Amino acid sequence: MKTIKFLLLIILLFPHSAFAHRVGLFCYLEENTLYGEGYFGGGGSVKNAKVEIYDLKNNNLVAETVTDDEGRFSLLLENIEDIKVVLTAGMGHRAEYILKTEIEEEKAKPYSGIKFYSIMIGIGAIIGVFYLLYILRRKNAS
Amino acid sequence: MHISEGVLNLGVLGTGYILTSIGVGIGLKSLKEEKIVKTAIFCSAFFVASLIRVPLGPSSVHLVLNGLVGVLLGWQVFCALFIALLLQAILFGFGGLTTLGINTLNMALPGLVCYWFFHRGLRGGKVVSLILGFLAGFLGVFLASICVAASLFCTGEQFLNTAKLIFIAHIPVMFLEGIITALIVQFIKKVKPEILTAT
Repeated sequence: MKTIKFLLLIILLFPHSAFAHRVGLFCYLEENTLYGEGYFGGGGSVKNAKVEIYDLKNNNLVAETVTDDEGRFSLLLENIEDIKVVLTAGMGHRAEYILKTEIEEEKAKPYSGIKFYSIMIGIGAIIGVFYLLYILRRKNAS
Repeated sequence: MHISEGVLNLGVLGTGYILTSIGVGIGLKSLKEEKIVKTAIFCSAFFVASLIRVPLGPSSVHLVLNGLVGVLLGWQVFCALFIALLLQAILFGFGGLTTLGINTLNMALPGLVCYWFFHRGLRGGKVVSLILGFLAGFLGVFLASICVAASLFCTGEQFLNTAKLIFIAHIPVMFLEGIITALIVQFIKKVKPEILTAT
């Protein structure tokens, strides 16, 4: 019983230690090069960890590399498709990052995202606002 | 011509909001029951006009229609443009919520000036109304680009080049708007002349 209490105390005293080792991963593409960085939730970089890049469609391993001392990596990709980057930091800690090329392109063109329904919502909202105004005027007049 | 968020300083943004709320207040107060439909229609027209892009050299410009909306609505131009710009900011991400005040002011004030100058003249003969319609559209964009340039310049002198560029880029739009406004006014005169006479 005493050992259990002692263990509980330790767990309760250091609750953040469980989160401190959560691994995060951030990646972005610049032209043909993939840049990325691995980090621990409590701060600190993921050094010398294995990075695997999978093709998202077939889940084939496309490339492999290792993070440097600052947790960063960069890799030249030949044909860029939608990819999944998996960072393995050992002891079962791993993080995934999905990078879709199509979304990146859409973001680059700010005006392409206008949908017909948003125009309709706008016109509907205008009608609604002025209808409200009309009702208010009517009420005030009567 | 929408100014994005995070460009202007607090003074310019605040002034924009104060003057716009005065304009919207006067507009709402003088908004008579029979003018509500007209205001709603031109509000929608302005809302959609910004989506019509005209390719021009390397970039593209869009119609503004603030001259037309102003000359036909008077003080209600503030209400119409405020709502249209608010919806454009929310739905399309043009401009922004912090710059809503100054953007409305920049577009609506020239419209109001057009109303003062040209509203009565538009009821005249065909040639007169064609010329005045053109001038209303032209002056609307002309003054709006000066207002946008001035609000950028008031924020910082480093924007002087951007301000100049905005003005130059809109010179073709001024002529285009003039022509379109003149044609729309002719169309309204033919189809529903009451819109021009009701003040």
